[in-house]
This record gives sequence, structure tokens and C-alpha cells, in this order.
Amino acid sequence: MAVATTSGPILFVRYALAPNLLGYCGPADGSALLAYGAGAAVDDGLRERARQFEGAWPYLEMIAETAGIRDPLDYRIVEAYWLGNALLGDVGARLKAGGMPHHSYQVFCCYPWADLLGNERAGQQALHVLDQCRIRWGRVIADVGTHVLVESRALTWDGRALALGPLRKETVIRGTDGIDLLGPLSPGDWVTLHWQWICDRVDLRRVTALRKYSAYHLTLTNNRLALV
Amino acid sequence: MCLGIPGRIVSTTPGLDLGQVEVAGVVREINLALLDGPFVPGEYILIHSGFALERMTPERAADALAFFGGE
Repeated sequence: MAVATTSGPILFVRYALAPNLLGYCGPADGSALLAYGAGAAVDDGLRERARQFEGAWPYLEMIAETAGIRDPLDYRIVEAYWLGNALLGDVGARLKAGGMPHHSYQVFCCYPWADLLGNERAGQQALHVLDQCRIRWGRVIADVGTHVLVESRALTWDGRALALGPLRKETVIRGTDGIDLLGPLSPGDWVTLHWQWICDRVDLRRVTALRKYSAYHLTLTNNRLALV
Repeated sequence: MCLGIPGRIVSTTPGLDLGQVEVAGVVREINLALLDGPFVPGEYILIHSGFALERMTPERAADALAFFGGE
């Protein structure tokens, strides 16, 4: 399976778009980001918008600095943050509690939600946020246009630890209002997911990296929660 | 990748979890169900992923907003 070549800034948009449209982070005008994601043009406006993701940007800078790459939106840097790649190994586990500058560190180890899992009032929402805000992976069952049926594994909480549950089917968004971020998908394609959106079609190497770094930070969090 | 951000209560409706909250100059619907009400217009809350997680003093909210380049 060929993976489409795209630029680093556009890759960033594909992964950052969903929470931005929900109003959770980044600049207020989510429709502008959506338009960038549907095209290939990269300009100063896009770069400025990327810098306004205050949660992600310092990690991109950290990876870039360690790698000796000037542009934090270089494809390799963006991929390292969202999915993981060899550049994270160069940075090492230098963040608090042995974390690495990967999106799963931000979600599992930094967000307040993991500490709310055992809270009777907030626990259910906490699990939902942790599951949806991490970058998930899944396989396409059917592409029906703007929506795609995929098979993925949801995050579970048994009162003591977070884990991935059994395979389940979910419907996710590929495009809206005539704007399509990806071309048609085929059954069996691996895709990455953020909230209710498909981010990208990925190959097995990228899925493996995402699994690896997600599991690493999930373990850190489970170990920490076990001590609470 | 999202950071918690302060919001200012604009209005709430008794019995409903969703309140109108000004976040970085934009009024959004925020779920207030995880905190005990009542909420007073002008009061600051810390928001993460669409939910209010704690109340904030005006001073703490101002410090946080300064980080985001706000007020």
C-alpha cells in the first residue's frame, strides 16, 4: 500500500484539526485550518496557526532542536510527535516521569483526566477524553464517502489500570461540507484517528510506532496510578 | 496537546449542564456538570476538552490568560 506523500505542515493540520474544530485547542477559526488540510499550500498563516497549539508546539521544538532540524514543522518532526519515529529515541525519556515528547505523553501523563478516572462524577468523561484525544489506529471496513466505518480498540478502565479493549466498529469522519482531507480509502487500510476524524492513511511501520509510544506512556500512567 | 484554558462564565440555565462561557474572546458552550453550581456570570473556570474542571480566581485566570497572549 502506498502512503501519500504530504508536507510536514499539512500533516500537522490533519492531526490537529479535530480538537481545533471542537474548540479545544489552537486558534479559534477552525474552518481555516480545515481549508489548509484539504489543500497542499503552506504559507505563513498556516505556520502561525500551528504555533498557536500551545500544547504541541514546545514538543515539536524540542524534537527539532535535538535532531538539529531548524523547522519544527518538518515532516519528520511532526511525525515523531503524533506517531513516533527514531527521532524520539534521540530525545530520550527526558520529560517528567520518564516521558518522551509524543502526543500520548501529553494525553496520558500531563492531562488532568487520568487522575479523574476513579472519580465517581468525572470518571466516565475522563475515560472518553483520554480515548478520543489520544491518536487511535484502526482498519477500514468500508468507505461510504464523508464517513468511514473502521475497526479499532477503545481504551478501557477496570478501576485500576487503563488498557485497550476488544475490537469494535466505529464510524469516523473523512470530510465535511465538500472538503475531503484524504482520498478514498479501501477496506483493510490502516488509518489514524483523533476524536471523530480520520487523520491519515498509514503504513504498518507507522502503526507499529504509534502502538509502541502509546503503550509506553500508558504504562507510565498505569504505574503512577497504581501508587495513588 | 490541548492545555487547560480559563473561561469566563457568561450565562447558565438552571437545570442544564451546558453554560455559555467566553474562551479567548469566543463564547462557547462548555459543560459545567463536573462542578457544583450555581455559577455567577463573570466567574472564571478552568476548561479542558469542553469541560469545566475547577473554579479559578480572577488573578489566577489573568496569569493563565497572559500565557496564552490574552488579557
